[in-house]
Amino acid sequence: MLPSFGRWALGATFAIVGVASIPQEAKAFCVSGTLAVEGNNCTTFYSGGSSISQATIKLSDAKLNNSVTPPRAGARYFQIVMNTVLGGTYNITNFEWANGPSGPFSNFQSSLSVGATKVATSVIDILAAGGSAPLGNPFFVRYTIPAGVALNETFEVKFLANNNGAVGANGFLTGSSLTSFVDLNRDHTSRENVPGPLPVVGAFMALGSASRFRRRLKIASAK
Amino acid sequence: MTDLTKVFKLSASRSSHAVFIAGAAISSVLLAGVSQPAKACLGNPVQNLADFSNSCPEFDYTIDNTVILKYSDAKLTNTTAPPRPGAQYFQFGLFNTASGGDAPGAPVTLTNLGWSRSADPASFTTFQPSFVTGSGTASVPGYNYTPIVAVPGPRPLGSPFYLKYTIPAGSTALNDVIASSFLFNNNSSTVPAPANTTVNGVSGGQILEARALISGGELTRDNVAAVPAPLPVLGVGTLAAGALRLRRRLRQRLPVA
Repeated sequence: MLPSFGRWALGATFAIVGVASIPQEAKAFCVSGTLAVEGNNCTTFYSGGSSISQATIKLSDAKLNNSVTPPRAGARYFQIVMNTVLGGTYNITNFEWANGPSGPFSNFQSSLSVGATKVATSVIDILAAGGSAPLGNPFFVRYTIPAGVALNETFEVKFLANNNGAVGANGFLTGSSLTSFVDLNRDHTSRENVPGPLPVVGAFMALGSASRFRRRLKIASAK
Repeated sequence: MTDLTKVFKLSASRSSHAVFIAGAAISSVLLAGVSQPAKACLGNPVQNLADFSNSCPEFDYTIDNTVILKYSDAKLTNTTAPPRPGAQYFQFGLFNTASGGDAPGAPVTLTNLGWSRSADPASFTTFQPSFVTGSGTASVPGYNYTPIVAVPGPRPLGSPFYLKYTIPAGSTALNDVIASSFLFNNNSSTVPAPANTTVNGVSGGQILEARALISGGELTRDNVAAVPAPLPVLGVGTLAAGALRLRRRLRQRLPVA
């Protein structure tokens, strides 16, 4: 009987540890994405549970730097534009910028309510946001995607930048390469939040041990 | 005239000849170098392509210039997470400005527009033998886009991807800027062209939808009409100085009447 209890306890422990380990690692919820190659460390993320996803995007373009030939100031102003594809509305929080993938990151907007229609953060002047012009190449932005995003929902994300702060009729930064205008897009798609293999194995072990324990009890009481 | 003076004058004369020949050689080499299409763009085209993704940020507007643009983006290749085919369609837009972008420029007829998956000039496939740019300013772009190009062969375009075109000699003025926009996606879906934009010369057309979800995007580059570097001037100056010295020496040798 003792071995059965041992297996049951071991299985239960596996299950608890497996489930408990997911919310402890914020970055674990971005399922896939390569920041170096795709400029996006969070192309897919878990949708359910209490998980949040911290997405970092890398923006690369020569116009983020000053140019000598021809002489031109690099981009100084930037803005993030977002929308959802399935139409859900979610609150994206903690918008931050940095000049390197590991920071230090500086906050530039606390939250943005994102739905089916494109919405944008404020136009950020990097000088007013604690940085120096130009933005620099590469440039990094990160933000937090909340828990509970619908399965297969996609956030379409656009990074806009220019060197003069000019905005179009839609309120979004605009221009051409002549004003170091940059338009780069990234996106994040939610995937099903399935438990990893460890909790499943643990659950099966616990179930098997419980069955055996019940059988032994029945045999003992029959005697 | 003493022997020493003769030797000095002879060597001086030879020196003038040497300066003249050197000046002529420098000028010839530099001018010949500039006139070769591959080196027509100012600066180092190979290094510029690596640094700016543009072999020709500045060009000598008095001669033909072949421009190669390089485009790098993850959406130009297939992705596995999420699974999505990379871009297969592209559309190329251009406009010209004057005064460094402050004023609308005259439309320019570019030639030999080609695409390639390699930077090798010999590998390009022509998709527009001749194409007229739009006109606009730095703050109000006026792109004229080509028709949408479906790149043949297996998907996707691949990253990096290259475009090439020629700016004919004399088609631009000093400080003109030719600005370009490269649109791409994987399903050829389109959106209405914005204001001041034409497609193949016709306003009210459609341009490729540049959304990440369909492996779409927009990348911009430009070329500025400039003057040649001062090196040829140096060569011409050396040449002129050598000629003057030679003339002076020859005059000194002429018998006085």
